[in-house]
Amino acid sequence: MPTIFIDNKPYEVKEGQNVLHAAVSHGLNLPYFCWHPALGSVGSCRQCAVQCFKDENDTQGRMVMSCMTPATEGSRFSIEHPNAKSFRADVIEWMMINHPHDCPVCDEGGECHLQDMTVMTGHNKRRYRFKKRTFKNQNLGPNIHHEMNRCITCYRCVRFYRDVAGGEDLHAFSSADNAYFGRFEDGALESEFSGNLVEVCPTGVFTDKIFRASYTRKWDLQTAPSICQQCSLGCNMSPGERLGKIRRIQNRFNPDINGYFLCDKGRFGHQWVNNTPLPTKPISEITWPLNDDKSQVIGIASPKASLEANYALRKLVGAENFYDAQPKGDYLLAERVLEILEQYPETASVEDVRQADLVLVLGEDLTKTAPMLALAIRQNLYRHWQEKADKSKIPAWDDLAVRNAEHELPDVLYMVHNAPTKLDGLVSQRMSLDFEQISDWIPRIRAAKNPVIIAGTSLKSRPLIDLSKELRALAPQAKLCYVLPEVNSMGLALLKPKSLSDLKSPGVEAISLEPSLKSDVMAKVGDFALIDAFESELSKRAAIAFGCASFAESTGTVINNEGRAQRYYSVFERENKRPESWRILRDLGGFSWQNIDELCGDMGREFPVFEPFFAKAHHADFRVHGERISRQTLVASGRTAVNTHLSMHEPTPRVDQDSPLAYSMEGYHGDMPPDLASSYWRPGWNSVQALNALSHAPSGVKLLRRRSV
Amino acid sequence: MSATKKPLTQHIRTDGEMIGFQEYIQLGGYQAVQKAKQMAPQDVTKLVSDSGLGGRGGAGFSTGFKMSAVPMGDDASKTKYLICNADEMEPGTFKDRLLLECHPHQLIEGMMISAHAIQATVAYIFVRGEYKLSIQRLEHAVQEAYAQGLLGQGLEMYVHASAGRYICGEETALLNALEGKRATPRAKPPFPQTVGLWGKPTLVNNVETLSCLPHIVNHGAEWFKSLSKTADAGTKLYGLSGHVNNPGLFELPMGTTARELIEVHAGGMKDGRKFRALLPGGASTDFWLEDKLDVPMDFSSTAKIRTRMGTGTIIILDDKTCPVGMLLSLERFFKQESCGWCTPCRDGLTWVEKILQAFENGEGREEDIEQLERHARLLGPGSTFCALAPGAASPLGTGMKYFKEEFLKHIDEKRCPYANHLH
Repeated sequence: MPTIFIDNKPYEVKEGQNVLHAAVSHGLNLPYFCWHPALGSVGSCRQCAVQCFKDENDTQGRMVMSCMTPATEGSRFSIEHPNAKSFRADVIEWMMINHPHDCPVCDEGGECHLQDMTVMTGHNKRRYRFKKRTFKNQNLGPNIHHEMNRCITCYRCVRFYRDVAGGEDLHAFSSADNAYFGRFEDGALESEFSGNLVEVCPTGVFTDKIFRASYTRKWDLQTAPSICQQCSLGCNMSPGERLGKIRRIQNRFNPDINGYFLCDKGRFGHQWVNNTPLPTKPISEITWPLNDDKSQVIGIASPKASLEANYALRKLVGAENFYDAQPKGDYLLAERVLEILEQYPETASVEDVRQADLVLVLGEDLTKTAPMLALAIRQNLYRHWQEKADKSKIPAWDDLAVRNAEHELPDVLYMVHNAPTKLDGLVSQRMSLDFEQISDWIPRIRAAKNPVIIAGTSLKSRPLIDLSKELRALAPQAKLCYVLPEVNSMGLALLKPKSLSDLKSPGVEAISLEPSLKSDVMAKVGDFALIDAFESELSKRAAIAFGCASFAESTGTVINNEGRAQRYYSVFERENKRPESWRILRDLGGFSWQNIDELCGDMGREFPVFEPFFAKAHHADFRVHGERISRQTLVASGRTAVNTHLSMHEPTPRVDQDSPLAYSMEGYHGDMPPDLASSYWRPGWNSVQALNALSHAPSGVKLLRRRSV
Repeated sequence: MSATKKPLTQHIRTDGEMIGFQEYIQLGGYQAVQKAKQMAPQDVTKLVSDSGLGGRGGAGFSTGFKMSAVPMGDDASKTKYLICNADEMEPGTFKDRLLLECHPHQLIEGMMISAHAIQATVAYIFVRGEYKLSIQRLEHAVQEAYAQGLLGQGLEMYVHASAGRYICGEETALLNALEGKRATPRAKPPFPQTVGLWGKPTLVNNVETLSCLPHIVNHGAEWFKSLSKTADAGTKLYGLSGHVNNPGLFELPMGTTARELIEVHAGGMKDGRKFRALLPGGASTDFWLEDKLDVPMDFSSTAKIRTRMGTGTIIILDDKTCPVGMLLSLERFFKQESCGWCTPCRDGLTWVEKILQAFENGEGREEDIEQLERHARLLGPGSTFCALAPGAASPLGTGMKYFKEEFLKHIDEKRCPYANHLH
């Protein structure tokens, strides 16, 4: 690792980094705009100027842009040098020429990178005395609000949207100080990754429209680490709540999975959490309408519910009566996938897909079934360009130089699919679903160093799944990646449910868990009890419906498609708190688990496959410096005032029995394990950019092991 | 072609028509390229290096050295591009237009020689979009060359009309424009010679530079050097505009002084007008006062006194024209033509233009002068992404130094003191 000197202090930096990346990674306050860790450097904003010196005797130096300067061994820089420092203030002054003075009422205020950088440079007096230029905004659809007057022309939006995510309908228009970032005409943004503009934009040009409709300041949001519930990848995210409503979802960095980005399904698909909750009563007040002998009742498990809920159901009804309600074909596919993975447990994470030298996609339309894998493939191809450009001595971070140097499609993506997909332009070789010519590909697969074979259940095709296994058998170095239907499909499969299609006694009474079921499945059973978070057609038909907490109000474990167990934590408690589904089942079964750790203890003994995760997961009694970790910020406002219509006394925060997090602004706020971090903040860094100086370790535990014969 | 003192322009017709293929052949055209093709590519490059030819786009950088940076040999890319930068958009500069409109075959031959030297297989002429006649005649000439079998056998040549931005004259922005991208400059390194158009080795040269090549091949490096009055080789197409009696273009030995250009070739100042200052080579050069009139106008002599000749096409500022108005006109151009990529240029030039407009409107303030001086400093080399803003800072900086009184007069009188100035 090279050592560089910044203001005469030595810093160890990563090989091949630029000076800006190195400096902000060390927590130094060096302002920037156009650079982004996932977008690289382009040198356009000129904000990150530093003074560069030839050697220790050179006192004058010359000004360079730190983002465009390699951090080579022994090189010397100064952030504090008056020349560079005053130039950085000048750049901010230019940026602010046209920027509205509406911070106090701007929806980006308080988490605005431009605001942070302006304060950091010390620019505080307006000398420009002319009119600001103004733009018309566009309607960019239901998710993203457009406010072009705030633009500082850093080009990050188009670089993410077009260059990284492959979108085509967002452009940079016009030039000079009239440069405009938008669509050719009003209309919803077409990219599945458009929501990342909200976090990529360093100021408030692109903001979250759903959040805007029930807006609250960042510092008033209560957040907890959570896992996206929309597909089987298990991207890490951070929902924010205030006054009983989920307001928005932001990305939570996990280098193994989603990295810096989320797809729009994950980011914007959260308002169902604010639907009318299904009411509930204490078990003691309920007349049980089904057979009192729970072993006469079958349990219908759910791949959308937590491992804990499914396990509690299994415990209640017994292994014999524990059913998976998927259609038989889907059930058998899931069983087959698990069987293959028990033979070949080396699964590919999203990061493995980014790093692979060959990606085979067998029948999955990834942009629809696991969007972040589609993004990972785009990132993969770019990484190949970076490696190739390295041979022409172009550093990996020199984004435009890489893109200008490389034009040939890397020989990476091989696809078996009949229908058009959004990745078609990136495919090197393709064949149809009958894959008769697949043997042509075998030498390429064998020659690959770290290939990934992606298949999945969306086409409901057993031959495709079998093909993935055969290819894996031919290439021991390959990793498998199966796209499954739901967030916890893998977890449920590991609990070994039976198929509801094989039910011997139709008409039997059932308990159904947070179902994603179509009503026709329930036609197989007689009277049923339902445990669900929200009112639905099914809840009206149920003999009894128990309202349970949604994922946002409960803590639980899900296992993603690669077999990685991850925990999501309750973000908030509703005014009328409903128990977690496992607590309802506990009470129905008379089990003694007081908290999730006790349940998981039992589950781990019964299913040793989960044990490594429960051993590593942070138990409810985990503390940092003796403190729980706060879900609220240090400056959360109105904690007494918001409830004065009910009581003038500040309510005592409820104690969270299942996690080391606190529903309070009191508690620990510093560096913490990545699986417990839900917001990023450092002094002077109120935007998501604070992440740059924080922990980048992956989280979650991969559970799959080779089945011992 | 016989050796001459005015190799580039001696045959240019006085009726404004172009020199067609037959006429060019009669004048000895396309013999140089035959001769060059019998030489090894490296020898052609060496000849150009030895001739001392410097880039006529304004930088004066050694053409031979630039050529020698293109990777050669078996390991080098098989696809290489040669690009003629004919995007002549520098204010006050109209020298390439003459060569494009009236002598296109000379340029094509020069390009063929250069393409041989770097072993390029595809050549583009990137022409300013407004140069309609140039485009028409170039296309005609290229077709003639194809019809005669000169092109199409190992070298394809295309005429590309620019969609029209000043910044496309910057060679890397030109590459982006040609690729269909936004015309923003690229960071160097990598240099176009190694990573250029579509990532391939690419050489970009100015029209006048390339037009010199047939003559260098025909008559040799020593002859080319002998054309000059100074250390920089060759002749130069000097131009004059402004209130002189005989504005126009003059091919003269490199190193001719501005005084000679004004007094001898341009027939002196118009009656009733006195020389006040000049911009030596387009708008992105320093103002020169009378004291620099005897400096030889070439690249190295001007570099010695820390200024630049630029394109060598002089704009004269006389005593009846408002210097503030002239600066406004120049800076408005630069502001409009900023590509919008980097902050100092995009927003700094806007500020400069707004202030100069305020002076023009009689609303200038004393603190504005400080802002203009600050911007002239801040927009200089090193702080911006490309040379556009430093180019804009050259006349601004020297203008603020030489014409401060004029700014103060605008403040005192709350109006422009020049009644009849034109913008």
